[in-house]
Amino acid sequence: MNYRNPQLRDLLAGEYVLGTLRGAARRRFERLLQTDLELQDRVTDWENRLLPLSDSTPPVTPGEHVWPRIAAAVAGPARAPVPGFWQRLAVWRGMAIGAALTSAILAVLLLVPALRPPPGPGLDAVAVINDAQAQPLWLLRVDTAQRVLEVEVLRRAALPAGKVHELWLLPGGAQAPVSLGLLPESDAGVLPIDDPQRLLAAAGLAVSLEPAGGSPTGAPTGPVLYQASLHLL
Amino acid sequence: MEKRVNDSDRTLASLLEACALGDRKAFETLYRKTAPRLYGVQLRILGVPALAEEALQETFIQVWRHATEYRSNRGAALAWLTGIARFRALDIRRGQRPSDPLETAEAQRALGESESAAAVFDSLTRGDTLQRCLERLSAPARQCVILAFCEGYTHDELSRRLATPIGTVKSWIRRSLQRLKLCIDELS
Repeated sequence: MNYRNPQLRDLLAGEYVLGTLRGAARRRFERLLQTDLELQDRVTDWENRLLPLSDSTPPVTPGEHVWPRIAAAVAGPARAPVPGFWQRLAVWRGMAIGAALTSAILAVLLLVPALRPPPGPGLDAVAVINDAQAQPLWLLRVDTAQRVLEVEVLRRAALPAGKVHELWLLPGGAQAPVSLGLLPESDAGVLPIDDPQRLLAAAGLAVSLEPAGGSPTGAPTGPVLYQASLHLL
Repeated sequence: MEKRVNDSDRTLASLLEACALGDRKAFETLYRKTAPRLYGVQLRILGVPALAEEALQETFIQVWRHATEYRSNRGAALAWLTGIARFRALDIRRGQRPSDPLETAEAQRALGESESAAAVFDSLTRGDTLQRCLERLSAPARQCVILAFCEGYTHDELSRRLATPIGTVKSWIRRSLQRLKLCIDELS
């Protein structure tokens, strides 16, 4: 099927939102959605066009037992990530979209000489962490010779009082995230790297919101706010 | 297209932003404000309270984990939440086998279906954009759009319920979507 035809793209987005796109066609469409921002906008537009149809459905109060179950499922600083959580996250459409945006911003950073990271013998990889509006927040440079991760704040990220941003390495597969340290909130900072090869082989990076001092458990406890992937140089 | 925004939606959008920063109090407020509406939508698709509650639970867990992905410059917070709620319900509906309770609920509703689509249409505010644009469609095409969106019908189910060949149902839906887009974008 030709996914470049604008009319067809809009029709597929409409059928997707209507719920009549099924089976293999829906899976193909969802794969495309992961990286195609324009298609995602078409989906959002259809969701907004058809929204009045759900206004007509009478609200029904769910049983009182539903909220405690939800609260328990998202609870607790002591909770380690549930098995498979990182894999499920990976298939969620937003992550790939974030990665696509990161690549775009990274391309700009690498093309504009003033913004280009100074070349050094040990500069092996870079990453940009963006917020949900695709605004770059942190620039990361991996220097395996010095075994450090240089972090530059490009824009201050929103942060509630008493909280910090913790950076995690996602090893991929079923392996648990590994803490890389706390991100600076202004200017710049340097994080030591224990295992440079593991970092270069990482499936991705994530930033979670944690209590002051970082996660008390060694695993992310707060929500995962941002994701990024490393680009090897 | 123009986004649908009002004061209550701005409140939902700021609650979602707070959720993205890990604010559990805001998450509970968001649940209290939107659960009855989302649950109503899911109950209509699933017909069985136990399944709809499962869908609601999955919806809010997903909302908490993905609140950072909502982009307020792109559309209404309620549309974003409803999209997640509908997909959770549709996935559960499709996972059901014929022997499951859903079939009974469906059979119970079967007689009243054409009336239910008409009732949904009648409940839309007269003169609103979507109401005016749906009004321009033929009655069976309108019925297909409403049953698919509100009740989660597949092409195949629509074909059986309306005793119409599946090819006809598919082309009704395709043409309806094209006309709705042109009409809604023109009027809004």
